[in-house]
Amino acid sequence: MNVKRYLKNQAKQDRQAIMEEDNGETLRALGIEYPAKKKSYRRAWIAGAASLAASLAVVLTCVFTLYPFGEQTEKYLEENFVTEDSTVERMNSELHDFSLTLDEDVCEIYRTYDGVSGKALYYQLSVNRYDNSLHGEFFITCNANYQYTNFTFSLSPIFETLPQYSITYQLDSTVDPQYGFETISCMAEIKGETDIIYITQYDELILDGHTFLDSVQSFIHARGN
Amino acid sequence: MLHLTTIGLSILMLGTLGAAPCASLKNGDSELHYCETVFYNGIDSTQEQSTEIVRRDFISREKNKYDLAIFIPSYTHSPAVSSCAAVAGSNLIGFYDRYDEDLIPNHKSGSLIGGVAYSYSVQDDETFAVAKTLYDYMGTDETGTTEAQFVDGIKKFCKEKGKSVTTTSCMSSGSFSFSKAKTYIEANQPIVFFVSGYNVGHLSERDTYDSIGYVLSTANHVMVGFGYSVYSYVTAAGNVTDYYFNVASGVAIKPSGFYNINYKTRIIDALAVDIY
Repeated sequence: MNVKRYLKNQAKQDRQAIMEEDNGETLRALGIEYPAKKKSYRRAWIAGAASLAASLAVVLTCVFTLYPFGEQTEKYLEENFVTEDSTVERMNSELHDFSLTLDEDVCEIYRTYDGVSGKALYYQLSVNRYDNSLHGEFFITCNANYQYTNFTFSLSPIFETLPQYSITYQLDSTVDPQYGFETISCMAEIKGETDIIYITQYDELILDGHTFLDSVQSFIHARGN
Repeated sequence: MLHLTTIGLSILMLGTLGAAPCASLKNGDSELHYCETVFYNGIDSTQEQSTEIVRRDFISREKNKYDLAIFIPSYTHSPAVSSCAAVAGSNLIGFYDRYDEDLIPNHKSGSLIGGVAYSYSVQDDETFAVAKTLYDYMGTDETGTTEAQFVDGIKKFCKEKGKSVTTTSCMSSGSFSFSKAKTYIEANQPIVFFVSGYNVGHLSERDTYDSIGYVLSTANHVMVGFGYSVYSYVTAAGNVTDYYFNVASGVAIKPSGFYNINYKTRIIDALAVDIY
């Protein structure tokens, strides 16, 4: 009985050895059925799964490390927007990259915020010079999650690096045929890391030779300057 | 009799279609015309506006321009929702404040620059108060304001100031008459536009082309024209003429600019307004 079992085990080992040596080709040549590469499949599956798991770990680590979930998922619905009168001081306290020097008597300021979160989204300014020779409209976004999309240059804009910041602007100068004055009309965009200042309309009578960029730099300053 | 029956049927049909006789028929204006009962509620929602640039290439260009001021009144303050009519009304009152400073007490209407060009001041607390009063007098609510309500509100406001108001339609056979409006502008009367869909833009002139950057909306809106410009071009494709009015749009990002009367807009009615 023991001899019989020994021989049976020995045959099984030999068969296994033959199979492993040539992947069962010899056994199959003799007409004996044997599942080919069973062990190889298992190894490949284990290796693949390990590789996939490692890749997933790397990807997930990158995603969770680099993707700013907290900020990007914050969506604001326009039906919740609330607009209120505001002041230069309050606007400057909520701007991150710029500060504006303006006389409250020559400007109107409105603050729009999200009524749900209470977070400031943008400011709108109307600026007027005392002699009425300058009218300007500004739209200033101060929240990285609020995008202002209705700003398009109608002419090829000029990019210029100023001492404190860079500005992209278009300048249109005409002599009014009816009154004979030179007037300039401008649009401009000044980008900070968070804040973006859009000058949506700027009309000025040129009476003393100064330029649009002179005016802009006189009241828009980069933080820390 | 047949003629009266036809008119009666027309009124009935127009009524079915949502139209009614204009409340602003002018004495002396022999032509019977109708305007739709439309609620004007153009709101200053930046999300409902779009921008567009149109370029006009030309071989030669001629222009004819006339403005009632070098910088027109261009207030945008909304006292409440759907208040474009009240804002337009405040611009209209602001214009006439130049001639009677009591219309808007404690507000300096503007100043004369170089002795020739009048430049209106920007909005302030006093012009806000005018817009709020007009909003109430027009009976505006969240649905907006009808043309009749607009006229009634302006008249009530002016009557309290001891002033009279005359309105004259610039429509002819149901279409806007540029020549009528031009005549009234030249007679120092602003034109109030009641429109379905509006544009307001800036036109930049170059040697071989003009570029017009528009802010557009499909809303029913009220704006006030304080000047006109006609640009006639000879182009490679033929002759083209563009008609613009220099408007106070009531739109915060573009308070004043060119309104192209033939571009993505429909003028439902236009009234020349005289306050005296």
